[in-house]
Amino acid sequence: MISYINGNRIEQEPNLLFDKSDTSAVHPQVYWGLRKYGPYDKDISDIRLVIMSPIEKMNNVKKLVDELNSGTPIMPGGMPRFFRCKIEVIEEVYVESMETASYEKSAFNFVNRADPRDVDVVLVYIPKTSRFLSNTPYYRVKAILASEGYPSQMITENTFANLKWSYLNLASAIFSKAGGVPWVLEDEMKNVDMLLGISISSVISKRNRAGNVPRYVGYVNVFDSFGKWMFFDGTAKPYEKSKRLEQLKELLSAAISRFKIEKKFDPKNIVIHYYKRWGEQEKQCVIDVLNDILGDFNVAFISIDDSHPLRLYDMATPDGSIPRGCYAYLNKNEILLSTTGYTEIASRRMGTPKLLRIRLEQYPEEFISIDDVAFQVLSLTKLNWATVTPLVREPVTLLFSREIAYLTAAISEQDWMSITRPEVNVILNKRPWFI
Amino acid sequence: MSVTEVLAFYNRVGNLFKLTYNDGNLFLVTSDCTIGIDSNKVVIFNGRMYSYERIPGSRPIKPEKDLLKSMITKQFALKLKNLGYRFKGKYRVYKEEAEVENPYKDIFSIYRGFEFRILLLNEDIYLCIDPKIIFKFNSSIKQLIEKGANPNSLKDFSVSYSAEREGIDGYLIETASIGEDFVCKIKNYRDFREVEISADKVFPEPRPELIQKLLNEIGVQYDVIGLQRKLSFLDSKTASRDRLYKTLEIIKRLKSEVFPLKFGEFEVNIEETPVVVR
Repeated sequence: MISYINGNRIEQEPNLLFDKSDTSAVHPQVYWGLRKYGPYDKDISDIRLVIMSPIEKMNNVKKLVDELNSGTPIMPGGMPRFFRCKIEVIEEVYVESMETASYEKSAFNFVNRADPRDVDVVLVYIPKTSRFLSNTPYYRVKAILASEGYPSQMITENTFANLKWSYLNLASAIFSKAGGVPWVLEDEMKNVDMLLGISISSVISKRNRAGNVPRYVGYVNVFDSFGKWMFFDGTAKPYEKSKRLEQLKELLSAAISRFKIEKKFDPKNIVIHYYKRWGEQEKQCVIDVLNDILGDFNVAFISIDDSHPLRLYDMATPDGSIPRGCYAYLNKNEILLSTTGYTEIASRRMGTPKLLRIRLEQYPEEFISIDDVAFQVLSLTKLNWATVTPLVREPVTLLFSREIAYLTAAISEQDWMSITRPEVNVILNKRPWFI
Repeated sequence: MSVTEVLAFYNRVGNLFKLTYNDGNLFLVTSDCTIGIDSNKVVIFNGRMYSYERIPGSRPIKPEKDLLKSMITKQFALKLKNLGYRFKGKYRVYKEEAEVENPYKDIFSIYRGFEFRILLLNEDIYLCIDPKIIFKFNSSIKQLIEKGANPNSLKDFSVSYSAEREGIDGYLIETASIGEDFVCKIKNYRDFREVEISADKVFPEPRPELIQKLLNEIGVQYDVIGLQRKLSFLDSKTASRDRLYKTLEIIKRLKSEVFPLKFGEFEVNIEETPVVVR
């Protein structure tokens, strides 16, 4: 006996828009879009960059920046062509050695004398370390700089080892951390006014490890209907798990109020992505907040989980992978979506696609279908501004949450409170400093 | 239809294998007194206890599929344990004889195992199987020091120290010397209290990146990450196909080893053909 489940497929890659004043500047692939049209946001002319590096690597980093400006075979015309701006190195900060302590010393010296309003991005050369280790130059420098309002971009020996494509990834990350919008979706997502990627219980370290009682932070990334990242907000103080619903209320209320101010309308259809399964209390808490603030609303609770062993295969593709954009229905409102399987827009894949298990619940009534959600999630995989690769597994809602989760596990409570204090938040919350 | 025929006719399949079973009763335990009840024969479902055997103070019920799924999951895991499978966490299993050769077995072992789930999809119950490479750390913190590791560098990672060593127990804050011996200061993950455990009972978390770091720490140059990539099909040009065939191999073995799975009035069988996506 054969058993079946039903499947479906998104036939066409979502298009991206590369000019906010020209709706014809569209392309399905980031690389070709930037090369042909430049970025969505063409208002940035110069990016003020600080380089922080050990002395023996400084020349390499400066050369890299020069090449970003002048261009490379993959990136002909460099920053002026691809991002319509130039990078200006305004300061060089030396690090005595490759040890974490040396990086901390240089970073503290720098933040104590500089003003974040005069710097767009700090480019830091660091040794390659595992992201699972917390006491590393990556996490320490990122935390020290962010807690004083400086977005940073890290590069390692690996960046230089594979420079061909790294140039463009690096350029895009620097551009977005300087406040630019490199690209957005061409079309609005169906029936979505406001999209949130939320995390309400990321454990935060206390001096790089959990304290006597584990403490948590919550944060939210808000996107508009074109998938454009709008801002980041985090709970002001770490809290204990029993207080998570209060923190969810605080986060959501602040995010909606801010969305209303920036967009000048009340969002009606709100979609919230969460990388865990929604609990009943959490859903009710969201509904209560929306009732208080908006009254007239629809909300979609979407959980996107990749910590499962479910796989799909397609024997008709060269490697047996299920093509990108294909999905299978596990239940009426639950699908398994492939985002990194076989596709004509990218030839290089590694391993078996890890599928996204997506569940949809709605309140008070249905306003979006699970097929719409599949398309929405696939579209959102194309909005990671830190890479131009056409194959990204996670939607940006989930990806940004995960990046911040890694950071919270490694940075201290004190760093977190600095990052979320108003004078720093006003600089950082419009820039994706965590990617 | 055989597996080969299914794969010849249908391109798209999943790693889900339908479980079939007969009608039968489970027994709702209504008595407040549960002393003496064999915990292997019961499940707690929605706050109530169900046994697959009639016991005093119980009454027969026709189980809903969710409940039956829960009982099948428990009995499947128990059967695996009885057959000599070792567990890493709740759902990852391996057998000692499935160890992959490596030159540093005194420090770590690698096994070819699998991860499983039992799922209820569209009113049918399925077994999901995915091949997994499972790492185990064999050297205690004390042994790593004896092999040349600097005690000062043995900190800031997760460790296990309970006898079962099926998961991680805490976070290693410091490895300190006491006379000629060493003790590990650990933040216990259960209650976040700091405990001191003798270094010979503490083992690093068997994560490939950490194994790699600790090998380097004792001067061993061996590419653990590379080995993991190779065994996880990451270097294969037909990675998905290879993984599917490996999955089918595991199912074939489980079909003869584990199934039929019998408990109480139930006999559960598995279909060897994967679910087709149409």
